[in-house]
Amino acid sequence: MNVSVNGKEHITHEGASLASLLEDLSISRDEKGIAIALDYEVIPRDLWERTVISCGMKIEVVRAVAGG
Amino acid sequence: MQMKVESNELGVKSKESRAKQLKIADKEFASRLILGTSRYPNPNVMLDALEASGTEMVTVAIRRINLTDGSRESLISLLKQKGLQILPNTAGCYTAHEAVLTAKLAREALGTNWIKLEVIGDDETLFPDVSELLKGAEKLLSEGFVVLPYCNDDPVTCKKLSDMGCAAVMPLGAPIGSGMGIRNPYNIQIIRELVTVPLIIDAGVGTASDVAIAMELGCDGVLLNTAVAQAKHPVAMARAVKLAAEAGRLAYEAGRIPRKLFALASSPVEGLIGK
Repeated sequence: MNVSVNGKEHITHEGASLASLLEDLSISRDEKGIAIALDYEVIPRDLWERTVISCGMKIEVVRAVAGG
Repeated sequence: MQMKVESNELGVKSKESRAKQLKIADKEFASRLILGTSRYPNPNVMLDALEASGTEMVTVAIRRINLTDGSRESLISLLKQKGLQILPNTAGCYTAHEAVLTAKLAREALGTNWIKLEVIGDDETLFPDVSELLKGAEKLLSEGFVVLPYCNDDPVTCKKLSDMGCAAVMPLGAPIGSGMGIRNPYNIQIIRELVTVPLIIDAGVGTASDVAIAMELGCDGVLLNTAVAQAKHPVAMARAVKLAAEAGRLAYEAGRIPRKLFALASSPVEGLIGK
């Protein structure tokens, strides 16, 4: 199924969780300083494992960068 | 002898004010400066400049992770190792909705409910969108954030932000990155009279004297980035702005003389030769 990750189309399997999506993207779920929003709602880290994503969802994976 | 006593008293006062320079919400900072972390020549220069400035709080942006590049810089751990408080910002947001989501992502990513709220209204001037800013501030305050809004140098907007519970107001001195200094010192003075929360100049600083002017106007702090990061010698400029903040604040506390149009002789007028 197709989802959008950081504005780009991404194909993942039916029933994928946020945690498994991160695995697809080679991002460690233990990586500090990152946050995820699913359809514009922030999903706390302890819910990544059990949050199932579905077709067409918009996922944002962010972190802090240098800024002013 | 009299002068020496006064000098000592001033010295003591200076030490006392250094101990607790700036209080925002429930936190106290020994420095009146907040620095950005962007546009430095490299991370080492940034860290040296932050140290030279004496700042205890730095701002960072929130951006999408680059999915094609796994080697992510560890900016936050570098900053935390230095004991700096992280102030995430919503730079780049154009609506209250975007800014609120960014603030919530920042809270989740960094474990802080402090947010420098920016809602931009125009991509050329980077001036704030006041109606969206007020809407975003209200929403974030209702969700328990400590909100430090970047706003216009407009006394009415600043008063509204202060009254609704923002932890500080941060009017611009001039457009972001412009280095134009404080373009409307009279408005800043009016804002100083109207708001009770900390008043921090955010944006427009070009060099150390701009920081000193902000302090002399009675501001509680200054947030700056480009003036230091893009200076020919960022570490030296960081030290310059630190000294300017201290000098400007001390001058504010000392109380400047009123401006006069005509001269007033400093030397005695009695006993002049030939009179």
